[in-house]
Amino acid sequence: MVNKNYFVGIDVGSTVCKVVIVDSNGEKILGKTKILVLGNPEKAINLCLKELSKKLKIKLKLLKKTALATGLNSDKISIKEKESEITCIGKGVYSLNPQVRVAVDIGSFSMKALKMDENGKIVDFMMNNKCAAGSGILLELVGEGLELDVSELADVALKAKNPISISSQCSIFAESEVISYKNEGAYLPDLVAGVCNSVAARAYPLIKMIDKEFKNVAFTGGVAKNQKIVQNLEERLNFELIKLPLDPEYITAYGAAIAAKERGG
Amino acid sequence: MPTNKIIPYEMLYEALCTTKELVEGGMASGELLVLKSFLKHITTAVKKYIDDAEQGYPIIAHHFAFPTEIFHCFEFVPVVVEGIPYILSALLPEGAESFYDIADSFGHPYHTCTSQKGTMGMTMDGLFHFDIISSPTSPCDNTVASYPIIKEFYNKDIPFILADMPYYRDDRSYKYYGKELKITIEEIGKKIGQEPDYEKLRKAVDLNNEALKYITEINELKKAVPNPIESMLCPLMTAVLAFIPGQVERVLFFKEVLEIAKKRVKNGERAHEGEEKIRTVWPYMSIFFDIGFCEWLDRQLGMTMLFDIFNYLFFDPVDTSKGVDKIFQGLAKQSMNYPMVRQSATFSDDLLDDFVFLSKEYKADCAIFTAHIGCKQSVSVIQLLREALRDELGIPLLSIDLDIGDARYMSIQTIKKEISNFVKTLM
Amino acid sequence: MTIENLFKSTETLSNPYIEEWKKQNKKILGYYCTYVPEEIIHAGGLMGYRMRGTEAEGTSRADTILSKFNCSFVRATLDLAMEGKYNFLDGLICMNSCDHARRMFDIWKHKIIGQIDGIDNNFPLYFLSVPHILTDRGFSWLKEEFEFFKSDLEKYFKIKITNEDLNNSIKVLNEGRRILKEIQQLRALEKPKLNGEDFVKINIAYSSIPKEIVNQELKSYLAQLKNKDGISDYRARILLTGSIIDDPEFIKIIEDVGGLVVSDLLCFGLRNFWDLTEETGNPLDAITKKYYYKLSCPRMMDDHDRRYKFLQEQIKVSKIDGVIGTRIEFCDLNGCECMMYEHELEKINVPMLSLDRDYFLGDKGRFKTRCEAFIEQIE
Repeated sequence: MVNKNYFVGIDVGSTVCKVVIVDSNGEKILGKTKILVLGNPEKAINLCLKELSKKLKIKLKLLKKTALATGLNSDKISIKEKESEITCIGKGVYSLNPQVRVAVDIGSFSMKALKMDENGKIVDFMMNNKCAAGSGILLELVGEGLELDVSELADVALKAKNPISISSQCSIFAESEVISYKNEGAYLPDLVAGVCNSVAARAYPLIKMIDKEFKNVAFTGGVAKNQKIVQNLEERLNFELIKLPLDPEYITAYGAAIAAKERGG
Repeated sequence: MPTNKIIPYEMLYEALCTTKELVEGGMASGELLVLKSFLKHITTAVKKYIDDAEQGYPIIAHHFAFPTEIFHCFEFVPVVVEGIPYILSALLPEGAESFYDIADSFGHPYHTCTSQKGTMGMTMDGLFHFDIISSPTSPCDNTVASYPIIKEFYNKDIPFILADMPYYRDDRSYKYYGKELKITIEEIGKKIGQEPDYEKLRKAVDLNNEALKYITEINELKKAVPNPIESMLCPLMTAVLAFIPGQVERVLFFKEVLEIAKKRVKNGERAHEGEEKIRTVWPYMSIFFDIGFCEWLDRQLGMTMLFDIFNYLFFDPVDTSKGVDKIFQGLAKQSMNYPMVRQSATFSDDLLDDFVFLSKEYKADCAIFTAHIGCKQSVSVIQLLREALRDELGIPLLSIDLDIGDARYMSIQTIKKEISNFVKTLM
Repeated sequence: MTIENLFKSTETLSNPYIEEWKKQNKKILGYYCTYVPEEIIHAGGLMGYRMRGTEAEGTSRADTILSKFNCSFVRATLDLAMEGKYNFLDGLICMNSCDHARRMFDIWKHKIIGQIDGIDNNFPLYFLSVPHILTDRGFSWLKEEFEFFKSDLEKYFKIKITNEDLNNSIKVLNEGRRILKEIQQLRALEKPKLNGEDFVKINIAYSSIPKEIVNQELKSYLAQLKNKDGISDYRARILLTGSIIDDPEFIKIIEDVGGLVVSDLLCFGLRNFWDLTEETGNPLDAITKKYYYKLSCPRMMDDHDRRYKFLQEQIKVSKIDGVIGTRIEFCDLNGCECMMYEHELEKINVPMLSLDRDYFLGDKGRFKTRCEAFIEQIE
């Protein structure tokens, strides 16, 4: 690779494109940004990179040359260097905290769990991506139905007194279940908390299936920003999740940058 | 009603001929040897069924879980209910999906097994004429639930002859099921007006025994690193077991495969260029709806499919020297331990033990479980198997939710992507 | 004790009657299917308990083992077991009823026994291999199965089950069945004396309370019902069939929109009590005969015609306006059975509504709308 002073990681998912730039050691994050994909992953990447290029005063072309991409939409873009999401999540989490053994990642449409050994090598992983139940899209659908922004859900949910139990297994059914409760006049925070809990309820089995001891667990992906879900998942697991020093939404992109460094540096 | 219609078999025959032409014309002489041998023998067998149907022989629609050779005491034409949709899904460019849709449009639940759903659709579409429908009562709910529908929608009064398979695998059960099989044959004989010819049955069983000998030898050679046999043998073998019972073509196919394997082992070769990177076991089935899938594994990933559920036969040859009842008992034991029946029609211990054993003996690096939406009794033990493989051998298991005969449930691109990611991430 | 107490007991998995039973150091065996011979359990001084999903809030524990292609009812029962809510059981009887329920044998063996508080390593698991077709050979096989089961119970619980015990238990169980059949008659009247919601409750009670007690309670309930005014403010008479229903709430949805459920082909319903056991002759023969030839469930592969005939009789006797068939997602047996009924009933002009559902009633709104529309259409 041309320049070894920085490495670019791109996580172009189904909904949001995230970009992280790290320094030559992969230790310091020089810049990060995100934008909605809106059906055009190439454009989303370019917009992110342009913004960072301006901010860091590095030429766009040079940024692209040190970039590595991952994510659901990564096979539709011009960046050549690619890595699987699982690997990037693993690298991101491990670089931020080598104590982590299990990571669970929830994005818009998929839920993944992976297990690492003490060297950060991935030894097993599981994902459910056929069915979006329990993933971010459920929060979006429900948010729309309740006329709330996804980012507001956690704050509303934390005010709950008696969370309603959402039993539907399927996102579409769950949305209709939530609307029925709303029409019955349910207390909004209870309802939103119920939805958040149902996401945590879907994440829990994945963690347990991948590792019987399941300790040192980190939670990543856009959905991990929701504190109500974090709280409920911790209750289910009966221990605290490891907090990482980076916005959970950027961890995969950060891992991609680390992967770029390992390849190029 | 027109008699002796087996139009799907005619479609199959045409598809086989086309594939044969393509493979023989387009490939260098040393390529795809196993596939070529398969196409040669199955084409002969299927042609014979079509000719026999034209002769007016009675058509018996039967479950794959029967020891199909039992019908060889008759002059007859076999229709493997579960086999025909899946082999067509592999060979027809448009797959077998249109037949599933016909059954669905009559209200058949979307989650039932497509193996029977396909034949159900063909029957509803008037493509088959059957004289007998016959099945064991195992291995699954789909068998119990879908056969009565096939019968009901085809012809309410058609002889519907069932053999009850007990849940256990012990002498009491083998004896009971042996009797069930013999009664099944006697009943069928009465309905089609033929006296069972047990000498003919003995010959068919002997041929199967001979084939079994070759299969055992082939499996032994698979222990070699690299595995000398292409992954494609797994689904092809499934087809041979289902479509060519008790016939000389079955013996010839396995004999030829054995020759190929021996030669390769001697030279330390695999079927393809490049090294064998990953050895896998597939505790359920391969994917049927994409004929090129196994080649992709071999060529793109350097991955060998050592065994799927159909390729290691956990039974002994049937002793044919001690009279008819013994033959039926032997067949009962064999068919109750027939691939997939053994692992799914009884307690889960056999499934767990078999695949831990195979993974260990054959040095598998990982397991890939095709979680078929139709197969509820199999998907319910994936986690038990994952834990057994992890705790006893330390190897990971990838499970993919899909329909092995329907390209629309989970696309082949997504399946390939999942497997590639699994391999890239773990290896 | 009143009928209210009885009804209340159905809202929880365990109940005060069970607690009382356990206090006397008596044992309880769970089972999944109406083919399990309750007479034998009863004759051993044990109590049979039909597995339910009551109180389950979701399946996140069970989902660590089972697939999303598995029935949500069975997943709910497993979830409860993993939560420790089934630790009042002293044994579990499984059989080859359906592909989901039969796997509970394997899963209890590997994941529950010895791993859940109150279910230690000695917890006995039983399996019954019940034939899927009706033949004389099958009858003999099943009788042997019941014999083995009896001697297994004798060995484990150190008891002796005599023919006299069995004869006595046949009488006790028949008594309950007779009462339930009489209640069913009151339910089929022009002005039914009780609704379907209460009827499923008494069926649940019948399978989760010691027989002597529940028989007494049901007897006095029957007497009360006889003097009660019948229900006349309904819009349509419904027969309910399909996958398992152990949640009265489900029936309430149908009845809230005016459909009165007056008959059924369900496990917590007619299938559970319709046939009596003969009270003469060899008791084990009589028990085998009753369970083998009883009103069957779709697990019996060659018996659809008899089930359909029974359905037609019920349509006539209970003056049914429409049939509702429900299928828990991934239930192949009932999915196919409902499909057949739909086509058969169409030929004789009986309207039928097929509903797909999850065991959990999250999606109530959609059900209500579908049922309402159906009832409007047939009213």
